[in-house]
Amino acid sequence: MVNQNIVEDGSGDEDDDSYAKLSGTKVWVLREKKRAKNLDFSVDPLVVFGWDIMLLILDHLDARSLALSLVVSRTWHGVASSDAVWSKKCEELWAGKAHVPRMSQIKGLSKLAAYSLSVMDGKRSRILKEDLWDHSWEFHFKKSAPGYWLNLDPYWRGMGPLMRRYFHSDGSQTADPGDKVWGGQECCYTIVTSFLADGTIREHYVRISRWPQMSISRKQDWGWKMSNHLYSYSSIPDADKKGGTGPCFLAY
Amino acid sequence: MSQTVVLEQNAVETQSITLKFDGCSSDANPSPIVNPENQSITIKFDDQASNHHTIPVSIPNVDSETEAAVNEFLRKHGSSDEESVRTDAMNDLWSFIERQEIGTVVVLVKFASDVKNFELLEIFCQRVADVIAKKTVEEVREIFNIANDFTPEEEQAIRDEHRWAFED
Repeated sequence: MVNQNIVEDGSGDEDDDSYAKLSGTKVWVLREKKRAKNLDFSVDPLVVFGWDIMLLILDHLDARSLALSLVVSRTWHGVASSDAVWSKKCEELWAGKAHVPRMSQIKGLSKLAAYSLSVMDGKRSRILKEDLWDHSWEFHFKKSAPGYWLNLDPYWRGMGPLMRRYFHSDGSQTADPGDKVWGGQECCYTIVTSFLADGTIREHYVRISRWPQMSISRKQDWGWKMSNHLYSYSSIPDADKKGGTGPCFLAY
Repeated sequence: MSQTVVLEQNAVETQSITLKFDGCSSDANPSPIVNPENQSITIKFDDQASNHHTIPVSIPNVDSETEAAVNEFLRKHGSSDEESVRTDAMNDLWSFIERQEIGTVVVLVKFASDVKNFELLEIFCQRVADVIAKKTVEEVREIFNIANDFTPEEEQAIRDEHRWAFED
C-alpha cells in the first residue's frame, strides 16, 4: 500500500495539494493518471481511435461488461448502446431459449432495450394469462396419480404423442382431438396471485376447474412448469413464433 | 481472394514480359501456368501473402522492445503457412502484450488500424477488451483516465434501466 504521506515527486502539478488528504489507493490512482497525462495523447480508447475500432473492442466483451461500459462516460454510452454490438448479444441470449418475450420484439426498440427487457422478463416467476394463452402446453400425469389415468397417458405408456392442453382467452381449456384423457367436460382455469404489503408475492398458483392448485416455476431456458401432486404442465418451446410470446409489458 | 493475370503470347514471336505489381511485397513466388491450347499464361498469387508485412515496421510512440515483439510476430506469422507456426507467433505476441501497460496497447491498436493489419488489430482489440471485462465502472475510468461526465441522477437512471448488469 502506498504511504499516504508521500507527495514529493517534484512535478509541481496542482494535484499535489490534494494528495496529502487521500488514502493510499487514491494516491496510486492519481499517479497512474499523471502517468497517462504525461503521454502526448489521451488513453481513452474512444478518443484515440474512434467509433469503429471502439465497436470492434466492445464486440469482444460479454454482455454484462458491455452494459457497464454504458455508464463510463457519455461518449462511451453512445457507442456502447449501439445496435451494432447488441444485435449479436440478443441473438446469443435468445439462442436455446424456449420463448422470446413479446416486449423485446416491439418494432423500433433498440437492441439494448430488447436485451435488457428479455433478461428481466426471463427472471419473472409470476405467470400471466398471456403466457398461458400464447404457449401450447405438454401435459402428463405424475406417478402418484391413479392407475386409471396412468394407463391412458402416452407419457407412461411410451406410445404416441404426449398430451397437450391449450388455454384460451375466454377462460376455457381444450385438448387435441383423440386425447384419451380429455373428458370433453367444460374446463376453466384461474391464475391466483396475492401480495404482501411490501409488494412481494404471498401466494401464486394456477388452478384448473376444481382440481388441486398447481405451483408455478420458471426454467433456465425461460420455459414454464406448473404442477401439483397429480399432474404437470410444461410450456412447449416456440421461440420461432414471430413477434414473440407472453405479455407486452414488463411485469414482476 | 486471388488475383489473376492473363497474358497472351503471340505464337510466332517471342516476347519478354515484365511483370509489375503495385508496391506490395510478397513472399509467394507466382508460378506461371501455360495453357497449351491458346498459348495464354495465367499467373495466380495469393492476395493474403501480399498483405503480410514481412519488412520490419516502425511503430511510433512505443519502446524498442515492443516494436521488436510486433516485428517478430509479423516475421514469424508471415513466413509460414503452417497453422502451428502462426499459432505460436500469436501466442508469443499475446504473452508479450499481456505484460504491457494499457497505454502501449492503445497505441498498438491505433497502429494496427492505420496500417490495416487485421490480425494485429484483432489481437490488440481482444487485449483491450480483456482489460475492460469484469472490471467495475470506476476501475475502467481509472485505467483509461476517463472523466465521468454524467450527473449522479443520469448515471443512476442508466443503472436502473439495466439493473440486471449492476446487481450481484
